[in-house]
Amino acid sequence: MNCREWRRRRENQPAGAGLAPAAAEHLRDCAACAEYERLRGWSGELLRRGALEAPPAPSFAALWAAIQRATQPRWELALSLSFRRLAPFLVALSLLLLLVGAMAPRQPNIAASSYTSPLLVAGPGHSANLAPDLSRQGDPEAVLVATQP
Amino acid sequence: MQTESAIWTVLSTFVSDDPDQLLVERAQAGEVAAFEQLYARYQAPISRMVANLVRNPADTPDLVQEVFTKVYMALDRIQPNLPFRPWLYRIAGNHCLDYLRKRKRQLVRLDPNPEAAEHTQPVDPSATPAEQVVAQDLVNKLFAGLKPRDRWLLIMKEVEGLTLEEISAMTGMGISALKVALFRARRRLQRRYGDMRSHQSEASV
Repeated sequence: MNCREWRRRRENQPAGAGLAPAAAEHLRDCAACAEYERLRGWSGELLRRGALEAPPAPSFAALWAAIQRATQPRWELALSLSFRRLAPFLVALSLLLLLVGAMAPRQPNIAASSYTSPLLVAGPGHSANLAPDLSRQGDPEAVLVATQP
Repeated sequence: MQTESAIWTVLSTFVSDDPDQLLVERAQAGEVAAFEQLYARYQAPISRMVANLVRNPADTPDLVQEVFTKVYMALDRIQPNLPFRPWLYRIAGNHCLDYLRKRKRQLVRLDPNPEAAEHTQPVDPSATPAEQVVAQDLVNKLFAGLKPRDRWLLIMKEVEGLTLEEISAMTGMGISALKVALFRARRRLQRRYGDMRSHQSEASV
């Protein structure tokens, strides 16, 4: 048995398994394999003793819910995520608009207008100013003739 | 329902070398109960592997859930010549390696010298490894300085007890390369242990 074969067989033996007579003989004669065996035994013992207890795995229902979330179409997921992220801002914006609406004056402020009516300027005696000046428009028939092709 | 499941389970062991093949085929066809059976069969060993590889019990359930979610989503792409078990372990291993790499980057960002923080608790240098401080704590410290791939190989071999052929199927490494990689991983573990002991001896003098 050569070293390669010996190591391959040894690696495939379960932990704590004894050596076959031929393997034991090889180990006595081969210092490299003896060193290999010491290292293998040391690391195996250390790691098995230091192995951690696994915490309980999630239930299948939890796993299945995670799978459903993961297999959801990306755009749908992105939409729901963005809505979830935007929701507080939308609520805040709505509250702000309501607040502004509540604080705004209910009637228009006339005094604030810069427009001055000509009636107010001219006074009550000048009502003739409101009559249309028809003389500037000219003869309607003449206008019709002029626009014909 | 339970009888039917039991029949499927028994059948699956006779039809092929891979006892999971029928369950995998049924899960691929969209049968949720079949995937649930696969989960029931493998949740404990995968949880153990994940816990021992990442050494962080708080994150283990989430990682296990992510692994099985990945598995479900990749069921259609399972390689026909690869049995389910090594394929599942490969996905779990790769997921944990990604996690460890990310965590290492975060740790480096938080602490520019993470090695220094690991040697704070004294270990009795006169005792053998098995008798020293809680072995779990020791392994945590030793693993902190190992490459994620070395950790994975050691856990697969020493804790999970997988054969070289199974690990080879998982990692895609040849048997010879795998033996060399395992040997080197053990050596690095041993060297790190020696460094730790000498560091503690110096500290105690």
